[in-house]
Amino acid sequence: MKLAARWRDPAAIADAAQAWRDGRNLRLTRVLDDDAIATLRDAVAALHHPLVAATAPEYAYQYGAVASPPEDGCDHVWCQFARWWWQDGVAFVDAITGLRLRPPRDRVLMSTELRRGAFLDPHNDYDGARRVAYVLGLTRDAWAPALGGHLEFLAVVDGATVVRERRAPGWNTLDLFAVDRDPPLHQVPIVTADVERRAITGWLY
Amino acid sequence: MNDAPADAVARWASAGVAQLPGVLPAGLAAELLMGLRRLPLAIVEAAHETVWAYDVAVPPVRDPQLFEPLFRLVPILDELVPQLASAVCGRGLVAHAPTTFRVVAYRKGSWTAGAVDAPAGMVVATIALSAETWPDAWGGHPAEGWAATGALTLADAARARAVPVLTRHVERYELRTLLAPAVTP
Repeated sequence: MKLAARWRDPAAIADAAQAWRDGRNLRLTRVLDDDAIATLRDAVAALHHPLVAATAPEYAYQYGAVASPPEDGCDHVWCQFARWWWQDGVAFVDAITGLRLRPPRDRVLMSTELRRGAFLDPHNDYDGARRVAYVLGLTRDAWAPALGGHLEFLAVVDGATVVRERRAPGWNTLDLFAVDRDPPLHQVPIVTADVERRAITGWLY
Repeated sequence: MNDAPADAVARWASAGVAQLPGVLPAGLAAELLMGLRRLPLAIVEAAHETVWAYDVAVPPVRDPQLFEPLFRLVPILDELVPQLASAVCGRGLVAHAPTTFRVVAYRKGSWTAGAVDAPAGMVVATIALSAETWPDAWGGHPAEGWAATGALTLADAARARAVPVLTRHVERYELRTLLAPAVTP
């Protein structure tokens, strides 16, 4: 696993760091090397993502997920990526955010697959320990927002919830947003068509 | 064999689906819903649908500790429903797994499309439990329309009976059982 060559340029890191300082919420593009992202996507897509779901009145969600830590001696792309992400990936995010972040204690990596019926209701990820949320986009296809599956940042204006920013499922994108203070309310509207939103998602601490 | 309403027979012949109202006695749907909606339903994903479900097996010997309406339901599912279905479909049908049924709930994210994964000749019998309705645009109910509480819907397992994705936090309960071709000696 390796980053795309563009990130060897300190100016690219500096630009991203400035964007982070401006809003503590950004999308990076062309993150990994082309071969690396394709290999990761294909390996992840080959895994069965059983549904996880919760329903109202709790925070409601429904999506397919695979979650496990990298195993010692494991040569699977999943393990290769997880080892890389929890070390070099976190260092990359540190460089952009200026934070000293760490992986979750259990080093569990999660892949999510949102297919027909999947959704995440509005939430803000805050739990007192998480500092930065990340979403590494592994979705090649594009579709209209009306079909769901886009990441939406929300605001409450005059008592009504409105979409402040919408990000389509991405290919080789990395969404980063701070969730430690003023965590942004966000959602993924329900997917109503036969499309697949894939991503590696989680939080850094 | 019961007499089947002519419109149900015609609908079955043309579309592989038919509806018979009032199969449950008055009030039984409400009683069942009171108990069954408290079951720990789990999300179930198959090629043709994603729903919340719980499989119920009613003991063959009446257990006074169990929810009593179940024992009024079983004869309906195992005897009356196959009789009605046989009349509508024009061939003998029997309960595929007597004294069992599936409680199905459509909640936000649930949908059905395409044929049920069942052997040829099977019929899916569904009894509507919920009385609540909501705008059609929210999905979560069959494209051909709402079934009244206590109504029986028969559907050819090999044909699609689509339920668009339910997009809001409402829920609809139904009971399902499979009917198999009767074996004739």
